Amino acid sequence: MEFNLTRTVNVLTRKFYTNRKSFLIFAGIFFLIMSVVHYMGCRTAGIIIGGENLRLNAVADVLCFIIVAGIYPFAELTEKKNAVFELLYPASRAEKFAIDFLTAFIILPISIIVIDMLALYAGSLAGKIYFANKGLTYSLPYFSNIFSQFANWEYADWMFITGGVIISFLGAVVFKKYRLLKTWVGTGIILFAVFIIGAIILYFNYKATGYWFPYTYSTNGYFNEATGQMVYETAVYHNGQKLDYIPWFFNRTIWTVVVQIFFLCLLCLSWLRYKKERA
Amino acid sequence: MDSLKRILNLVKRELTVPFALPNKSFFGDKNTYSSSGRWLFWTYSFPFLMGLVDCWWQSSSFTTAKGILYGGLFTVAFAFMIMREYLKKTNRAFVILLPASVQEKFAAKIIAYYVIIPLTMLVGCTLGYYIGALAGGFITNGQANFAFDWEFFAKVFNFSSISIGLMCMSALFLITSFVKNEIVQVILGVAVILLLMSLSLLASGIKGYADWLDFSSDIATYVVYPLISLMLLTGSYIKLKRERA
Repeated sequence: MEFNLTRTVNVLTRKFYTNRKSFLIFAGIFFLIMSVVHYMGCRTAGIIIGGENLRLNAVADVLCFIIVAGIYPFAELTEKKNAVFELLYPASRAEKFAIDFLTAFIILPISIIVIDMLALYAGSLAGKIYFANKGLTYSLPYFSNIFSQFANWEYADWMFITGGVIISFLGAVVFKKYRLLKTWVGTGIILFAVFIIGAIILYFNYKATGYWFPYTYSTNGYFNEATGQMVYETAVYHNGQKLDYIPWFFNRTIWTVVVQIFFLCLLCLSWLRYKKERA
Repeated sequence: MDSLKRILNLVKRELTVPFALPNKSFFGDKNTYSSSGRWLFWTYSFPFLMGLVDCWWQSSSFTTAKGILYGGLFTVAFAFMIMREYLKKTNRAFVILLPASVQEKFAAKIIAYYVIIPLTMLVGCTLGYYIGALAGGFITNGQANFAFDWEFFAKVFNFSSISIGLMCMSALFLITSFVKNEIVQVILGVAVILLLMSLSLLASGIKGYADWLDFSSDIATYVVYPLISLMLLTGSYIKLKRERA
């Protein structure tokens, strides 16, 4: 595998230079929307809990990560003329893929967070002026506090966000036109099909046993006086009868690993697909 | 003896070439041996990274036997690679020219994907995860509080899961023999695995009626699932034979 850092940086710079207008427009719109969102946030929260609401809007940011991952990577492949021209870039296939990967997974997410930070300060500044006109003081956000919404997220949340970005990224390689739309409509259809099949299977289970779910569980907590701590116990029921063991599919670790490997496979698939396209 | 030699050569090719066809490298250059090493490096680095993350970021979910699970699932995921050469016409033509019979080619695939890859994956991923977990422990606590989780190991590594894994691999073998588009292969593969799992779950709900399908029952683990695997493998063989005709 040919890999040269100088060439990679050169092509990356070129990518950002040629798409500069599009990037600026996107950044500008995102900045404006987020400024308004943060300004409205200041106004609704007011001065009572000032500082509490002043943090990045993680949901909007993540949505944006997923959207940009479906728009900007492999943008050259959408048009035949540009696709042929991209073949002539003085870089190997692996380097070109690495550039799009870096764009979708590191550069654009970081840029989005930076833009949201700027919008947060701009919105809060507008809020400060609004409150100053009423003779009230309003503090600007503390830097240590603004990432708190991301910090609250768990491992599983991060995994599904990465998964969303990976699906958009895969869609960007697979489809040529209306890439983002096709990707997410396709994903929606697949998820819906899985849901329908699951529902049919559960219906048969209901018909056969009278229970919708063959397995259910409940968690009970009690206070252990010896240790002075709460103890939580999970009991698994099989069609209403309590089991003395916990079946494997109630193990969170297993599902975590399965989902990780599934997303890794999708990432490998996007590389294989790109490789085939550029052969 | 000659046949065995040819099979071994093909196995060697199976393990190196699908990941680095001449002039078309996967994770390596034209030198197939070094590319095979790099491919292993990339695979093992994932459990290593996850071990590091688990013990660094999430010091609570400290399960070193997780490496086994990574190994097993990677083995199943690599089943998508079994018929990789058949995706492209030029590579397919190249495979026809390999000096071996269809039976030998099929045997080589079975040895590579059902014996060698599972073993290397299980050992390598466990080791990778273990080293990652140790490194993560050192970063968090300054010491590696390593403990092998036997309970988890027993849950993951038993004949029931091996039987299910083999069946999923055989299903993927059959799908990759028939479908020539990677995306459709993945969608179909995941759908079939999900369907098998749901059917099994359903069977476990109506105990006494469909034990043969319930993967927690002995009859499913030792008789029905191996039989289904065998049927799927026969299907793949017939398809391979027709493809070479």
